[in-house]
Amino acid sequence: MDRHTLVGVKRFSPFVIIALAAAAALAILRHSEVAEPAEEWKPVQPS
Amino acid sequence: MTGDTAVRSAHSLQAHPGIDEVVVIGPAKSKSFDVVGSAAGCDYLVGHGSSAPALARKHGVPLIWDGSGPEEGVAAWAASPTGLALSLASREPDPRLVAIAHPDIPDSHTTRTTRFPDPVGRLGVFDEAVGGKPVAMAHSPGDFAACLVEAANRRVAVVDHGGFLSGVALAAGVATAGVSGRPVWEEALAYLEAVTEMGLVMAESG
Repeated sequence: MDRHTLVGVKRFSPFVIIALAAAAALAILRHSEVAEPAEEWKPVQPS
Repeated sequence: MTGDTAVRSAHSLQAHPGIDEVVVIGPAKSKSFDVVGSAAGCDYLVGHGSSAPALARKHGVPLIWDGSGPEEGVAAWAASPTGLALSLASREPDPRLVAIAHPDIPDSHTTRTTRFPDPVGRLGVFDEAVGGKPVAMAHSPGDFAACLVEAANRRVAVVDHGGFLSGVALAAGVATAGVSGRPVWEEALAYLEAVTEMGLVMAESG
């Protein structure tokens, strides 16, 4: 990079950072839901 | 017979002991059954849908019906997955939840979820009343249907292909038909014995 080249940097607004963090947390929660335990069913006759 | 569910029920009835003959009341085409113009000689007609009672009255033969209430000329009503679930419930000492999931139930606004046996799984349900009895209804997104009762000590269920389950549920109404029209759950044991003889499997959990 030439030493006269300027590099512009834009920071995320704090609101965008909060929204991204919330979305990430929701995604983690969704994937970490514990699957319901399997039920054991056995055939029965009407009575 | 009227409707696709009735055709399925005809196949179940044809293989059932105690049924001498099954015919289709025309005009209709059938590869499997004789098509006749009159219901003369028939003990019952089996019909699906809202038009069935009026058609049966024209023939003057009592109807086995999957509708959800009594009508003139109907010998047995609620011969349906809903009636099957309510029949299961009527044999339990303390039924707490009666629920059905079926592909034919519209995908309506649901208020909570209920876990049906696999492969149906957990689905959103909405509440209806059939014959004055509460039933939780769910749209099943696949081909399978389930009738479920949660009682104090166990869960009882019937799960099968939705079309087959509906056909058997209608056909088995023949085992409950009375002189005056009644819902299938008033003869629940006879009804449940008929549906299992026709190929549905009852299962319990817990």
